[in-house]
Amino acid sequence: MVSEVPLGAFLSGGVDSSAVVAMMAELSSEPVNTCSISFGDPAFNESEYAAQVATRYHTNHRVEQVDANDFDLIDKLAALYDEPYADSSAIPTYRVCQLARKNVTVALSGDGGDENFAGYRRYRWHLNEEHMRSFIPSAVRRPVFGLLGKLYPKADWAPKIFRAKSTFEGMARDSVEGYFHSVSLLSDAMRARLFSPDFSRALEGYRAVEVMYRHDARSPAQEPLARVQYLDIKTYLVGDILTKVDRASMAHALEVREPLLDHKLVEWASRLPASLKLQGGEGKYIFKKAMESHLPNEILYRKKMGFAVPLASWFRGPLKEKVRQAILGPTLKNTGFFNTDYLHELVDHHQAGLRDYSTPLWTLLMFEAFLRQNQST
Amino acid sequence: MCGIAGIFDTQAKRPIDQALLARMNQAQHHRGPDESGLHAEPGMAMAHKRLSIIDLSSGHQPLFNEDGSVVVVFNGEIYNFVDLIPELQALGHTFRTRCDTEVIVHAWEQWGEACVERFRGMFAFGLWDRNKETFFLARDRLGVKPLYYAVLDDGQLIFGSELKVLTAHPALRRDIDPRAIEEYFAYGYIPEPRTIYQQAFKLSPAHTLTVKRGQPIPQPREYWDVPFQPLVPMTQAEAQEELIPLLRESVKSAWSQRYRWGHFSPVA
Repeated sequence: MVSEVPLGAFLSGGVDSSAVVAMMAELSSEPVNTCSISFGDPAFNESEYAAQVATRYHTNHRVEQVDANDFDLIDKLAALYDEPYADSSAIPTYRVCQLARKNVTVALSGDGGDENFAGYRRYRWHLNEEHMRSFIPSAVRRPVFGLLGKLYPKADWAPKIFRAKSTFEGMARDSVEGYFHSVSLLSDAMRARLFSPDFSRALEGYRAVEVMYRHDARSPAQEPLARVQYLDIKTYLVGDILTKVDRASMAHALEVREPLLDHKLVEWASRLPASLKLQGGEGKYIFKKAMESHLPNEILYRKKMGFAVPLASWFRGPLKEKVRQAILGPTLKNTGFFNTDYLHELVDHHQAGLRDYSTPLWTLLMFEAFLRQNQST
Repeated sequence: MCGIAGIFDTQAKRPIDQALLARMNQAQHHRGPDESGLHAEPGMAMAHKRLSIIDLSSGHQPLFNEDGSVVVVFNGEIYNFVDLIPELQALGHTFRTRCDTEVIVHAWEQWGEACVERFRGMFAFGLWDRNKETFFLARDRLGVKPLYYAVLDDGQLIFGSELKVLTAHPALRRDIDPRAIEEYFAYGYIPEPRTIYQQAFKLSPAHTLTVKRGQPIPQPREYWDVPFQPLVPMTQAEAQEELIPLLRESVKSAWSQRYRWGHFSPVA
């Protein structure tokens, strides 16, 4: 009657997936099936950390090296997502699901830990800005810092902490605008240049930040940290992360389950005081503390790597021509949505090495692929 | 894990184009290559693509209640279904299978729209209650499972697990929503509830949509939110101590079917 399907887990070597695997291993009398992918480049390689956890919990661990230059997937991704979607980690996620499906039908994943327990680094930045904002009334902040931001020379090649311009601009914003700015792929200023006058008119003054204002207005969260966690749960978690995991897993007929998004756990974590989530600059503080008995400090307290894709070098090297053709070709031009001079500037400045515009270029590339695939149908 | 699709005539009992629904469903074949099913009646049809996880023989969808007046297509897992079966049986419901899909139709009969509050897990489903002339769409609390829908110009509501199910319908207008483009270039994705097309929407997490035939289509209703309040004053030691059992419980719950069916015995 009951069909037995093999069950396993992703094991990236990060805190969340390691914690899930540790719990599974404790609960099971049989070895847990785990898998991870590795990249050739050690800067992007977490597989040795995954191997440590696998050894400790005696899992059936499977690692496969994937080619870092995995750009053949670009058109496939556009077909998978049906509408524009620009998180480039869709590529490695697709590969890890493909690998998992070779051994299991169901895999447990560690998504949601960063939203629930405040693991993202941007939360620290946001709280610092909030702290500074709290000293100066907004009536003063907006005109003074807005002006300083305009006068101060732009230095977007510098590490974020040295960018006085963005600090001044940040001070002129309110909390929601500030957080929106920190997660935006293309800032308000860049989008203003990207869109054609006709397209801007069609927007009738609509701004993407309104999505966040709408959620924030009904947010039950009160602490500054909780408020931005709430925004992430309502926007990034579902729109980016869960969409990515669903499409990547379904493309391989793999079922992924999300224990860290069990609503009982989510409810509990949301009611924790901020100091137990973010303490002394350490995100996911209580989660890591609790896991100390189960995982080595090396896993818990190292710099987060994540799945990174070497877009910047792709766009100057193997994809140089593809990017030019896609972004400067007829597909985007014919929409009338974009300012073509700015498209040229993005491509030229990136390829000449003057700027790193890899994120805007990837976002445009995926938009172009969407248009191309859906125009003809 | 599966794909769901359907067409509901919100205005009348006009015949549904079954061949068209089958094509819409086929667009998401990859989601459930093991089996497909379709049910049609005047003014309503739903379809399903199935990936077999457990209990293949009795889990065929669309699935009906005792008298065939309630029918559901479902994508996901309701982890606490084994606890809900005896509760619903005690209330007089008769189960033909032991699968989570059947729990949904009986829970709907018992608790109506509030049935979703009883479910723990990840789910998206479409349900039709012929006696109440009511159509019901629901999505889990955090949005693990996707659900897209659109109301066409002729008053037909169409839904699916992916947007490609909707675009397989020739009457879906493909007008692009400029606001979605503004959002895309800011966020890198199009946040709920918008899609790239003006006429199509994502059902937001923790929302349901209830449509009665012949009545205006209401806005989706939120049935849950992340509480954040009241804060629970807790020392670090207390929080640490509570967290591990909670985490273990969440992992165990996601694993529940193997547990409940006794394929192996847990150590803890």
